[in-house]
Amino acid sequence: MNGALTVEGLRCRYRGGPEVIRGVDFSASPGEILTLLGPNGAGKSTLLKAMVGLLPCTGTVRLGGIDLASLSARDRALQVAYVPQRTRLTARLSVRNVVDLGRFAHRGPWARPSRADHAAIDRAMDEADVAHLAERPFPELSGGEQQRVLVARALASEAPAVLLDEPTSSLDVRHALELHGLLRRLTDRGCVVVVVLHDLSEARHHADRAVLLRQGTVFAAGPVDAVVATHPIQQVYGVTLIEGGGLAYQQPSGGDTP
Amino acid sequence: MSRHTQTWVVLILLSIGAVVAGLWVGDGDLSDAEMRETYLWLRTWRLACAGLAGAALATGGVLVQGLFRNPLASPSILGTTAGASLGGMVVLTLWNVLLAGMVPAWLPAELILPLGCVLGAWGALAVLIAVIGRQASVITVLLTGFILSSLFLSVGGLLTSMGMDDYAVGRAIVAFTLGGVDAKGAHHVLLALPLITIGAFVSATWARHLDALLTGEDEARAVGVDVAVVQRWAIIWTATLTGAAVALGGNISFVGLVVPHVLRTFIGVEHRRLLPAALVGGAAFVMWADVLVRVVPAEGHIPLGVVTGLIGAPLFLVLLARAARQGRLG
Repeated sequence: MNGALTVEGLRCRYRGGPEVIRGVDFSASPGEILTLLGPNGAGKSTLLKAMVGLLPCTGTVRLGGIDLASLSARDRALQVAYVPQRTRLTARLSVRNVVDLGRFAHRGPWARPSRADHAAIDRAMDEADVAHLAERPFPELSGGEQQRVLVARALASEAPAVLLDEPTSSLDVRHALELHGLLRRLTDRGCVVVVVLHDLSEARHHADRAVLLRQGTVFAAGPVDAVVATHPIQQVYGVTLIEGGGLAYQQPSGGDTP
Repeated sequence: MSRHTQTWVVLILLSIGAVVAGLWVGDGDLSDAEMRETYLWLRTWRLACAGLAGAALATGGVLVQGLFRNPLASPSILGTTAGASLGGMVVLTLWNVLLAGMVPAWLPAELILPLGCVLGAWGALAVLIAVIGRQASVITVLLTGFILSSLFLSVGGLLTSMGMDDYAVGRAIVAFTLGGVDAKGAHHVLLALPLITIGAFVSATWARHLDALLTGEDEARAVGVDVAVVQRWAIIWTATLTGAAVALGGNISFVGLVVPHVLRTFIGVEHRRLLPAALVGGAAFVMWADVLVRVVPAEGHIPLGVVTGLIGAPLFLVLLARAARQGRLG
């Protein structure tokens, strides 16, 4: 089902609260990295959760034309993998067991892991550079290592769409670059990658297209260079973009922030 | 030999030892050729009741601990243990009325009490589900179970005090409350065995679901777990397992809490390993506790629930202290 991921008229709210996502439309094609940008509270993480079916919402999310809401949890997991910003796992599951959860939807309750399961898990751990941690208890890992294990779990699912919520926030520079390389390889295989990023410079370097959110709505969408540009950034973040070798921002009152 | 294999060797040796000791020890002299067969027959059923009750409670413990992502949860947390206990007390309080024609003639009298316990557990479950609705959060289930437990214990206390007016009824209620598998037979086993077998089998099919739930409900859903279905059925089967255990042995405390907790330190947190180990470990624990009931000299017998509590509570405190020293309590 390698097709575009299309979001149409998506609206959602947390129970009893105000609407957080207020009618969002965009699409991501196979082979491209789309980044969701926006200031704190813009609704990026909520949007990602709603797309995976973790929050009740109205509107549709389609992958290859199929409404994900019409699928069971198991079938949806076969189509979309999700990497949360952080996990609530504190039990001493081994890293390999955590990555194996990515294969949950691939086999029945009594089935032992198949050769394909083992191969997918090994490949995912290699790609996320956590193979050497395989037998370590997950809670003993550093934040960055845990983040890479969560990425490996998503890779092990072999889903055609991968949604990641700030996956580089706990990573050192080398692993952040490696992760972006990995995401690029996924798109080269025809996957859809949607990634929430905070760092605009990182977004501009590694994403193809961007959706800029403001207060639960799409303020701008398109090629990343057009979205991470002076006007939209000033309107949404309230800072001025200074183009140079990299990106820098200036607050209205002055003072540069690299 | 891996730690996992070592644990299983110990569990199997403990179980075999409990069966041998359970057949060997007790009131009555096995050298009496005339009575030997009868004694062995009675002890076999007693062992079966102890083993099944322990297996049910420990399996229920693994289920709720996985469901609530809390290794300190016990099956009694749902209020269904107190419900089963209350069901038994109601039966004992109304014993004479029930025998006077309220139960069908085909139902053996010795099944009335265990049936009352199972119905009590299911009644408590029905109240729990009615109160929490279909989309309850785990914390709502936890709080509701706690309140229901307190309510059922209070009503049970009321029945106990009312039962004291009649010496026989009062004594029966107190004995039931303290737990025990003496005077239990084939009927009890035949009532509980299918419930516990199906419960254990169904629980084993959720091993990976429970592993996924350790990561939290959102992540479990994201990897493909139908969380609402697992929660609903885990609660239903925990209630059934605890109801069956109370039907077999009254209130047997600490098994559902301590056995999974101890085994987790040896065998790990993976449920496909933990569930069968808890089944066997729970059975061995209660069978050994019942052997102690028989060998400790006392006026009459020390109740089984008291023995499991006297072993379980200090053991649990030791584990807690060790976890605290290692900084694993957060």
